[in-house]
Amino acid sequence: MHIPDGFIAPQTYVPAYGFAGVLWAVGLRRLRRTLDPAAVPRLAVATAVAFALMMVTFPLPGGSTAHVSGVGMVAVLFGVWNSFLALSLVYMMQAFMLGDGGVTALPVNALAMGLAGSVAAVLTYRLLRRLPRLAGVFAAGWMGTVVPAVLVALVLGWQPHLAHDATGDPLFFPFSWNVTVPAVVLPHLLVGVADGMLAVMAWRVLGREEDS
Amino acid sequence: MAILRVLFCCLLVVAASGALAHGGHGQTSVQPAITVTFTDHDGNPQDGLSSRVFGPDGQRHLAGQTDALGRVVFLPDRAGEWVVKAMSEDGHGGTVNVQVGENLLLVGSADAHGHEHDHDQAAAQDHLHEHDNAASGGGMSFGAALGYLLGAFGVVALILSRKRPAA
Repeated sequence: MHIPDGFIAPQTYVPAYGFAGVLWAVGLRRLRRTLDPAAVPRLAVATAVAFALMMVTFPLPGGSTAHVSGVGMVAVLFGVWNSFLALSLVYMMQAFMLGDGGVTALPVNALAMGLAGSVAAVLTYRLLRRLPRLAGVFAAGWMGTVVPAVLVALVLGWQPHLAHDATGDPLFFPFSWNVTVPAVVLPHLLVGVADGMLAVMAWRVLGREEDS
Repeated sequence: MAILRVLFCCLLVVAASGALAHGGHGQTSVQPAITVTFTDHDGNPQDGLSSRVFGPDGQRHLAGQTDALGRVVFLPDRAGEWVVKAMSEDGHGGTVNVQVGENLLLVGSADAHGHEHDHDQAAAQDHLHEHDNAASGGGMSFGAALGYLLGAFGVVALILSRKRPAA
């Protein structure tokens, strides 16, 4: 789901860098006030697990590949802001050191997966509090994958409308929403199941911080 | 009758020129091409991706698909930085910037993994080997990235513990 370099136009990633930059700054200031030092090792472990699992791809029908994201796992365990910052760090490492996800696409990946995915996961968890807890955690893990997939599909499908030459030929990603939404979202409905199971396992192993 | 003959000849000439207008000419030549190979993390070729090659002016030069070996082949017609993209419908693929010299031969390239390659056309075949080497170095990059990641959390823990010393 990581968008590589050269797929999205500057009209997308420049404002995204501005927006993400503000949120990173706010998150860091908030982190210094709210994060319990005792929780840092668990957050580090959860983030490292998410990082490692993101690098393991499995084949999908149709020839494509996918991987779990761990977004729901980190978000449910540590809250939206901690999750957003920790996962942004993961995306930075992947972009700058491993070429997995582009440097120009970094803020879009961070906002779609790290922020929107975390918000979706935490909201789902809170909305389903009346259900058995593990059911809520599973649903949160699923939503933490599916919502970013929808956003990434929308951003990708927007590119041919946003940046094209005089003849209408796309200068960046060439496929519109009618192609990107089913291509990106449908596989992640299944990937979300794996992410939900991952969130449940992590919940049982790492426990949970108080809501933040 | 003579007029009819002249008209018939004119008709023949017009018809022949029309036929020529619909005809095509193929010219065969051997020229040095630039090949960009797209592979996934495991080194498997990414075949069937939608590919586009953009010239130094940013205009599209070529559109097609990667072949069965994940390759895009193009012939540059001017010096400068060319951009080769290969994209699947679900957002997989990559971008490679190719530097072409005044002699229209490959000078160097940088792929989406940040690996830069300097090579001349004669060494183009080594490109695949360089990719192989890059893939084998992926494990080291992963380990290094994981180390930096955990180190960053160590720094965070240090800062937080100094800010809020334990009672």
